[in-house]
Amino acid sequence: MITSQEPPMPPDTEILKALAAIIRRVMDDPEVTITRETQAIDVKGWDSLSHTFLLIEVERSFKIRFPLDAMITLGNVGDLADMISRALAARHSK
Amino acid sequence: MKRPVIFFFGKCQSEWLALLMTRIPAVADQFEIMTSRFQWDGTGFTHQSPIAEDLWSRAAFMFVQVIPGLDQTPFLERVPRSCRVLRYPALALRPVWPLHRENPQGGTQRKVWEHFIPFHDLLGVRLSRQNLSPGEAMRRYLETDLSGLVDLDRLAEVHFHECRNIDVLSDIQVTPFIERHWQTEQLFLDLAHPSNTLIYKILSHLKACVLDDPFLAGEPEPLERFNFCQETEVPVHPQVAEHFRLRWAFPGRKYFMLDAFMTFEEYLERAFEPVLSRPIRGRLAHLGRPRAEQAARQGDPIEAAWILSRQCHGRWDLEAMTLLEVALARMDPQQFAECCLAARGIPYSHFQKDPVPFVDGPSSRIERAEAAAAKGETLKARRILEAGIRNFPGSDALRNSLAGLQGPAPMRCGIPGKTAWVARAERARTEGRRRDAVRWLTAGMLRQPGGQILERLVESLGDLQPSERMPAYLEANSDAQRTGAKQPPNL
Repeated sequence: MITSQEPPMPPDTEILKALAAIIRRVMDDPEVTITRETQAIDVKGWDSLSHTFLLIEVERSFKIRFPLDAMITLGNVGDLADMISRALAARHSK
Repeated sequence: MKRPVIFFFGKCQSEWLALLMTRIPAVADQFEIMTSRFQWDGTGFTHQSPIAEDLWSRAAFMFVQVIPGLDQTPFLERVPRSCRVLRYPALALRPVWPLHRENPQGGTQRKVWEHFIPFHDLLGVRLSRQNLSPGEAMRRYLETDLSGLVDLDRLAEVHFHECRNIDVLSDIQVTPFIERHWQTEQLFLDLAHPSNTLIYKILSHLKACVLDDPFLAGEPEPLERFNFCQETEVPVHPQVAEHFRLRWAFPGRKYFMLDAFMTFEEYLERAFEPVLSRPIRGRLAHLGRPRAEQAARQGDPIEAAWILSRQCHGRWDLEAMTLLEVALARMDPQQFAECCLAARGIPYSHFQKDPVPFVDGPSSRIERAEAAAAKGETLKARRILEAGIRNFPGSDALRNSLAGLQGPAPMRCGIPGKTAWVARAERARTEGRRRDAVRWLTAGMLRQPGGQILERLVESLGDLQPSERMPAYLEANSDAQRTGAKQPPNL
């Protein structure tokens, strides 16, 4: 049930937009194009070290917590956006 | 006959392990050791150099670093079925350096920091772009509340979870050890470069595998304090140190960077003011002394003596030697022995000059020397064997081969070599002229600086009463000054 204090869940495109901004900030590349299909290999600087920092930053920005095991099985930005969406839904349903 | 090959695949940590492996005579004698480095080019791992087919077919062991994103299949498919594969983890410690990134974007931002640390400091770079004065940038950096930038506890939780997952894919597990000790011991020098402790831990397992002796796997690492992998330690942000209660990153701790010891604040100052961050060679002694004093105050005389002895290594610093002498005089015999071991560090730069994709063990050196001697190149043969003895001092085969070498000994250029200084000092020591021994060795340090002489010097110092040591130094130093350190002193 959504409480009155909780902000409404953003639509998927909003999540992707916010996620792209976080990726650009964490990877320090304001120009990089981010789509659902983007993979770590497509973004310069997105390696295993920065991946952890990115996920922490995503959690902080969206005020969510990912299951630890789910964090290491992401294929692309779309998967990450979906995981955010699920985490937000779980938070709203509490 | 061509020897079987041990392959190391991975990043820098693999290279260090390979290099340490080459220092084990029993391994270097039986195997060729080959490293193949993978480099992250920003979008993926690239294999730095192609490997000849002949080498693949001779692979006996393959030690592969488990790196997320690195597909091991292409090279695992190429080795014979008999090749034994062992996987070990790529080591990192993100929580302690939460602002650092390995692969920064854009050349211009990187320039601010790349001269200084191998990593990109997000906050530092962000502030550097704001056209602030260095002082103002530094003030803002220090005033920034890190909890507003990163959730440190969550970072640690996620990081160790990932490490445990890498451990699962590895044959050697180190995460439990790191989790137990990372707050009390300095296990890493920066985000992705471990200190000796962890490297030796992995090495002991690899050695056990190659020599087929499982007992070697639990072998403790040497007492050597020198960090084999790299010398630079990236200072830890005080807020991080406080948050995680890092005992080794105590307030005011000085870290070794660019030939200088500096606190976190001094490091920031130099990072924001690039002109200050040039290596301050020659001032090492001056900068190292406070760190040695700090270590002594922290109740670690061995660390203090190590710092001082390193200052003396490769350069002459009378004051540091005096302090070293004082530090040694205060030690009990056990501490003294540990200090001698600790002082035996070999600067990493020595290795960088001579990367060793293929390493000669004693027998292949003898083969090469014999080939050179057969061509009449006696001096070359002698050099090969002498270098071999330096690397493998315990090898009788090399010594015998050198002794049996026919032909002229190399011409000396008037200044005795290291061995000569040591031999003279030993003779003086045997004859009871202990002070002369110290003078010979001190003189040797001036002209032929090296770990061997320093070690003997430290030993000889132990023969003298503290009151006798200083005059011996001064006499040798005065001789050296008088002769411009070009001629042996008048002993």
